[in-house]
Amino acid sequence: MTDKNTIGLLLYKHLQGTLTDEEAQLLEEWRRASEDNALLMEEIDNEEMLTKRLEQFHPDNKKAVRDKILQRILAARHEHPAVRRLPSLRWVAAASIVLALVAGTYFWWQPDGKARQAETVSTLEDVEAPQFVRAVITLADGSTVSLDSVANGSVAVQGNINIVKDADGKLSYQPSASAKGKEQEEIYNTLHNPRGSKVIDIALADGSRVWLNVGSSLTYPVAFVGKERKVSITGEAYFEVARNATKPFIVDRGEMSVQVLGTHFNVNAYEDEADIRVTLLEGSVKISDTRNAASGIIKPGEQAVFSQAKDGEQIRVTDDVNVEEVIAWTNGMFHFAGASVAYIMRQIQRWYDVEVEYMGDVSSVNLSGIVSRKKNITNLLGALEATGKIVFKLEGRKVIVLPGKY
Amino acid sequence: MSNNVLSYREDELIRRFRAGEEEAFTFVYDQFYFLIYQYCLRWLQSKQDAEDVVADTFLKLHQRCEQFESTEHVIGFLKTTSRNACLNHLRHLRIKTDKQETLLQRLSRQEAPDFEWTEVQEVLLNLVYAEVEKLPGKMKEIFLLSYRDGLKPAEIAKRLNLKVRTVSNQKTNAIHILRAAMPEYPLFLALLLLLD
Repeated sequence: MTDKNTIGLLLYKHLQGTLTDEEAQLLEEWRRASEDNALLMEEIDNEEMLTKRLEQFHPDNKKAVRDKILQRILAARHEHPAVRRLPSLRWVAAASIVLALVAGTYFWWQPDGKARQAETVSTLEDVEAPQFVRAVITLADGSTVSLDSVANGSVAVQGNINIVKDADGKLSYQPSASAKGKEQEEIYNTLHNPRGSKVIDIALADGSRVWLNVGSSLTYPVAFVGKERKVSITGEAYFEVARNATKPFIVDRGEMSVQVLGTHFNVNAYEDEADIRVTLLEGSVKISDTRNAASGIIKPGEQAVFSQAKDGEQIRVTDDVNVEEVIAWTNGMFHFAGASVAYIMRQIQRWYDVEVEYMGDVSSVNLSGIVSRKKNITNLLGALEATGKIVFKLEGRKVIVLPGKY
Repeated sequence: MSNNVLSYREDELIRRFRAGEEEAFTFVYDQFYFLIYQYCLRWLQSKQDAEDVVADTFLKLHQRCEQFESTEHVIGFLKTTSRNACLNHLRHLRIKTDKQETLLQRLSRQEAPDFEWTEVQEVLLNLVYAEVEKLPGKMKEIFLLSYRDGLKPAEIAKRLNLKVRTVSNQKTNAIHILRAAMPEYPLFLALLLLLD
């Protein structure tokens, strides 16, 4: 059809407003020919984008880029190819920061590739992923058992129930053989899993399993002797409830509760999140909103959303939910799907037990992706930084969040 | 670069390029680096990443210089290599923005490297700067200053020793300046030239 020189000239005339009718029609045909063409037209008509391009094409700026890249090529051409790895320059630079620390100051690597001297910091280290389960059980008499300080095997006895920690750190409430059929009083234990701990996996006395995320607590009867199996949580837990048609299993969270017969579901009820979210994977659950005396049943693949705000609306049910993302934490992964930076940082804060500080506005940034929870914090921060939308500074256990250059 | 006075006959260029002569390599680099850079910038949206890919691409070209038989062969290699590098970069981002996801989808759909968009853009912007060369002295200076350093009217005025008002009147609006560059708009031109 028309070659690039003709189109370039037509676009130039379009900018000047000097197209003849015939030329305008030719350009319009070209614009409609492909998505790319239409995009290019849009960019040229956008003053801001055009300004950016004019800057890039400025002879002096072009020459600066030309010289910068050429120098790199000429410097590298005789080196062994493996010596120079181009991506992740920033994290290569991070290694040199550690060296520079010996002198008491360090250079923070800016996204534009310029090393700048930053303020002196006393410590600068990577933050490891949680290595141990630091969960604590509060027994019925108020005494506590720290799971990272007790040996494997029986850690406590409550009534006829033996609390056992196995080699994997998994906790189980095991009725003793002689206790079968014996009625006993309903007594409660609380399992608290702090920030910076591994996820803890617990088997309750009825055989139901619960995975408790960091910064979360679960309160449950030692033995389920009542008419219903009632537990309460703060934070986030994933449940695989043992089927028992005669004793419904209820997760209570004050303003809302989840009632189930036997099913797999996730409850995210962190106080610092705007909503409580119940996501169903298998079976069916009944959700009740005690504030509005409303209730409803959700199906697998659906999510019920409660606003935690005082004047919050009623339960909202959505099937636009990525179940993989919701339960990724139980599989040792961070999984974000168009997540805001604030949401991502809250997860980082809980998991690595770090402080987060914002310098600059990143509220318009939404990111997606999957990264292991088992690696050091720099692994995740590096993956986030590679998008170019965000930059981090790590000072001890504090993460400072800055907007990226693009 | 425009001030590069070297010129070669194609066979002579290729012979020297294959022999690994730095001058011939630089000549080839100057012909194509900006096109490849603009292409990478379009897909990667990051100057640093684009520079990385361009450096890597030309380094590979340099390492294989004895294999090339024509400049078409060279440009074909540069396009394919930089396109694959951009695709790889986007694929290996473990965390992506929506925009990066869209770019990855679009780039993976292209079977062959498609540089038309970048080439058209290059023709257009080269035309603009060719036109700027023809602008009368002060106007040319104002244009170049505002697009090189992103200077604000006040700073330009100071630098060129003009009254601020004169420069603000000209509001370095690209489209207007381009229009001003046309003799068909004498009134606007006159306005711009109202300098002390």
